[in-house]
Amino acid sequence: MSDRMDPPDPDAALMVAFQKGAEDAFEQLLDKYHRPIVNFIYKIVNNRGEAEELAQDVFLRVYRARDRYEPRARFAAWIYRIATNVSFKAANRARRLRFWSPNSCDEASTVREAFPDYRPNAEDRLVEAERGEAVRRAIRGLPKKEKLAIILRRYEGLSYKEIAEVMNCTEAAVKTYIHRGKLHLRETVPGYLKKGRS
Amino acid sequence: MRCRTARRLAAELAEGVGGTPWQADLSDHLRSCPGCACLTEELARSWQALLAYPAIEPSKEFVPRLRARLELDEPRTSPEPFRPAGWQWMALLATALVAILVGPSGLDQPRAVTESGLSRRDLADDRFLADLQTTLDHFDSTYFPVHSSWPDSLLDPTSQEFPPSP
Repeated sequence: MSDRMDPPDPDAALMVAFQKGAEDAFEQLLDKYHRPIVNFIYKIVNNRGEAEELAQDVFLRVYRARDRYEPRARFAAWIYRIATNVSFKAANRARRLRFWSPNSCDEASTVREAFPDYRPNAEDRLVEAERGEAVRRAIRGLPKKEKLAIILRRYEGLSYKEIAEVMNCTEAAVKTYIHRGKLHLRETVPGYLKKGRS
Repeated sequence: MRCRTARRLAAELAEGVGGTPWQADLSDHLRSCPGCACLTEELARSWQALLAYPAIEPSKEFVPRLRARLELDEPRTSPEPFRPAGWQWMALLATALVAILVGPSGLDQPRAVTESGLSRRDLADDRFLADLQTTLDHFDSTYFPVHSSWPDSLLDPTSQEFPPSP
């Protein structure tokens, strides 16, 4: 048990209210989390359609598990843990499929496919898409645990403690994963990105 | 502060974490160590560069489709499949063991033999046949009466006089 008292988690309170039958509490959680969860899964599976499908599965699981939910951990950690399990299972399945059908490729294998609102004549959009693609490649090249820790920290804004709950490890381990991840990214993120935007 | 410690803390500093107890010591070290200062700067820039990853917007159908799925997701009302408890497993195992040991021949009951040397089943069969004969006789006598004054030839289907002329 931590020495400090954690601040009350409003999302956990919403989930408890949903347990007691308040359907609108679930609506609020859905409204708050559906966008981050879709984006989080997208960064792992690299496929927009699949990310949405898997995000639906995450919310279905939350809905079904309402009776079993115990507000011991923060709600964010709980839902990201579900999303992590769902997306890594899907990613592993996709990897096996790719092994058996090597001609198939990711949806986001090209800039055009990765960014559907890409317009060939808009130079700024092209530059933005290329930068995004470079970062996407760098993130994708990280080992699994480092990638997960970096995504949760950088894009989802979770604390070390919450990441430890999601990854089922200690905070010290999370710090190590993030530290190693940063060192990897230092090598793989292209130099022009590190110089800042012109 | 040693370089090793400084480089480990530099990764946290790259995130812009402020107000930590080690920050003053690290800043002192970075002023005096160009290698660590360069690493810290580079880590901070690559951390900043990660923001170039564009966020995607879920499709407009996402929430309505999820709501539709949730409405279909009624609680399961089908009965739970039978899962034997520990003692039930033991009972099932014992029953199976007895069935194997006794075998199919063990299920065939030996016939009880009466004093007359006939089994009960044989006696029951005899009784059934006797009852059947009685019933048939009664049926014949009711619907096909044989008059005592009729000559035997009338009762013989091979006889020329059969059937009797009216």
